[in-house]
Amino acid sequence: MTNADPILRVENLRTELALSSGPIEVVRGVSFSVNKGETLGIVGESGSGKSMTALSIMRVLPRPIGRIASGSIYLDGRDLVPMTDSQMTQIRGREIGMILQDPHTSLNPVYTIGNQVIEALQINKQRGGLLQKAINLLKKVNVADSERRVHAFPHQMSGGMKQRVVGAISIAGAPKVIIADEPTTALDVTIQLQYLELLEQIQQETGTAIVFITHDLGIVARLCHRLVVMYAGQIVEEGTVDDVFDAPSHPYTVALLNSVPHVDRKVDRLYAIEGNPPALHEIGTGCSFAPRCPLSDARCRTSAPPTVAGRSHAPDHFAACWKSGELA
Amino acid sequence: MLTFLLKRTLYALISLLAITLIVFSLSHLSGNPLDALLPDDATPAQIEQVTRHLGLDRPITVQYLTFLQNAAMGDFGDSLKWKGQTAAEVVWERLPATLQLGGLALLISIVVALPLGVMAAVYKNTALDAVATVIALLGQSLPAFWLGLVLMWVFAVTLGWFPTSGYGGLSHMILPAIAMAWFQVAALTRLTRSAMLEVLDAEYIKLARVKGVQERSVVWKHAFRNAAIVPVTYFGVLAGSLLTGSVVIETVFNWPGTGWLAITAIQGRDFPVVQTVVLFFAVLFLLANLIVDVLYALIDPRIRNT
Ligand SMILES: Nc1ncnc2c1ncn2[C@@H]1O[C@H](COP(=O)(O)OP(=O)(O)OP(=O)(O)O)[C@@H](O)[C@H]1O
Ligand code: SF4
Ligand SMILES: [Mg+2]
Repeated sequence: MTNADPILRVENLRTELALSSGPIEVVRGVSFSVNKGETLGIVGESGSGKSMTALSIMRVLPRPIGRIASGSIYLDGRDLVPMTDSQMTQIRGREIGMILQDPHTSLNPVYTIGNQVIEALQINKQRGGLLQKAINLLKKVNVADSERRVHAFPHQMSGGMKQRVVGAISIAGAPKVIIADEPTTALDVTIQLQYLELLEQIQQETGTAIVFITHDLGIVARLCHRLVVMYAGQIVEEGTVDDVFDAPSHPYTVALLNSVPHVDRKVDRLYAIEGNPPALHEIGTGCSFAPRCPLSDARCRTSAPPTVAGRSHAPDHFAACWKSGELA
Repeated sequence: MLTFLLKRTLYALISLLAITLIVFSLSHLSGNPLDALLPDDATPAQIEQVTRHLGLDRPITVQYLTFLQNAAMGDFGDSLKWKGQTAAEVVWERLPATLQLGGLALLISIVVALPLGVMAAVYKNTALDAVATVIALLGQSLPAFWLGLVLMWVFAVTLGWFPTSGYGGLSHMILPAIAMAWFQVAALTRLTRSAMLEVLDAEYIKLARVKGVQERSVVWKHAFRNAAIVPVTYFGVLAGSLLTGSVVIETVFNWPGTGWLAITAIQGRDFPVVQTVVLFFAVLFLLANLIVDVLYALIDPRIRNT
């Protein structure tokens, strides 16, 4: 599965938000890569910086407060970080697509579905017979009755259908990477399942890489090949889904897995771990998980943990922890 | 869409009826109209004759119905000050001047305020935003008549670029139109800015960006169309305040429109004309609000489909 051919490689990404109370770093040195045709899961509690990582890659951070402070984002070998805003406009939608969390708010209420799909086609240099092309694209994402639905407005459709439309928009340009930021959180369980099948189908047909952001470890187990676990703006563990589930190597990952009774069951939130993630401006020099970690000691609290090999000893399994070896 | 507009038209007609009732009642509350119509030394026979002629001896409901009937036919009685003309003729003659001036003021407000408000939102917290904020503050703290006098003093009297007052072409209209538009520009800029700021935070704007839409199109196609509901709503208010504003500004600039007419007629106790002006203003205001409803329906499919 992993042909070690990264289409997207993020290196030491740091993203800041200039809040009125002062700047905070919401992404703190994140590195990961996604291979062609692969699905990478990003999991972590609310506020761990998953969306900010995605928005940094797309360069659509909240304006005017958000900015990438440092790092590199290689898409197919080219670094996106130094690109100008207008160069990034050319990348978005064409080379990287994105699916947002809430289908009820992510389509423009005053334009028809057709208008919004056709716009995506035009951005991708499609000319002529656009209405038919839009209908075909809607068929591809299993929008029933697409000849009629193409003339409908978003408020006339269900959440599941709208999310399919957003999916259609994201694949209009046959992008190399699709980032899906919790695309099923707002959907019913059965609709969720259909949507995940749709994403798998798209991936098989187009070979696109998918970055799938979620709270739901069940979805990760079902859909992803590899995953990264984020905590307080950092990646604390990374590896194949099998390795991480079988041999979790960071106390936070262990806690996450313990909070899921059955891996194939939907779990909304990962709050089962005692305590809260730290406020980002309060993080000291040590391990940011230390206040909640059962294994933490004085060293954990004062010096940042090193990145070590995961307990599976697979070459692509890592964790950032002083005491990874002590986990059983 | 059609039922929506029919409903709105019906509402407008009901409002109009209510206004006629108010106008009619006022004319009877504000003392006996005979006092205005007759000289102080009128004989009882004269009074009797005029009373009968005007139907003032009949029951009040009959009087109202007659008034309504006449009004529907455009008959508001004869002007007392402009002898030989009906009140409707007097007002009708002045209407174009008011519409010209109000139209220009409206145009200035829209052309200046909408782009300024949009840009202030897009370039939030920059120098441009600060300029827009200052304009908005100035506009809302300067009374129109004062601004009118200052403009007249500086640009007409001192610099001589424009005529000081009176009726005429564009050069006569510019100063009064600016004086009328100033406050509106301020209000409209502020409203547009805050509406845009809210829309620019929406998820569908984020989706437009991630889908690769050019920033210009993100702002105008995706954001402005949604934000436009707010300035469009204000347009109804705007039309109303331009009409009332015309009373002040037309008087300051001696512009012979209906606003000026209203003041002159009040001073001359020409009650039929005053009444007619009020009803004309009411109709214009209701029309403006009907236009707002049509624009609503055009902008937002969710309204169209209800
Ligand atoms: N517009 C904003 N203003 C201020 N702080 C923000 C803003 N957006 C995000 N943050 C902060 O940035 C941090 C990371 O947020 P982010 O949205 O990336 O989290 P997430 O992992 O996507 O969480 P969730 O699972 O809830 O979507 C959080 O601490 C959050 O409070
Ligand atoms: S470094 Fe220490 S505090 Fe941090 S996760 Fe590992 S054991 Fe826990
Ligand atoms: Mg998020």
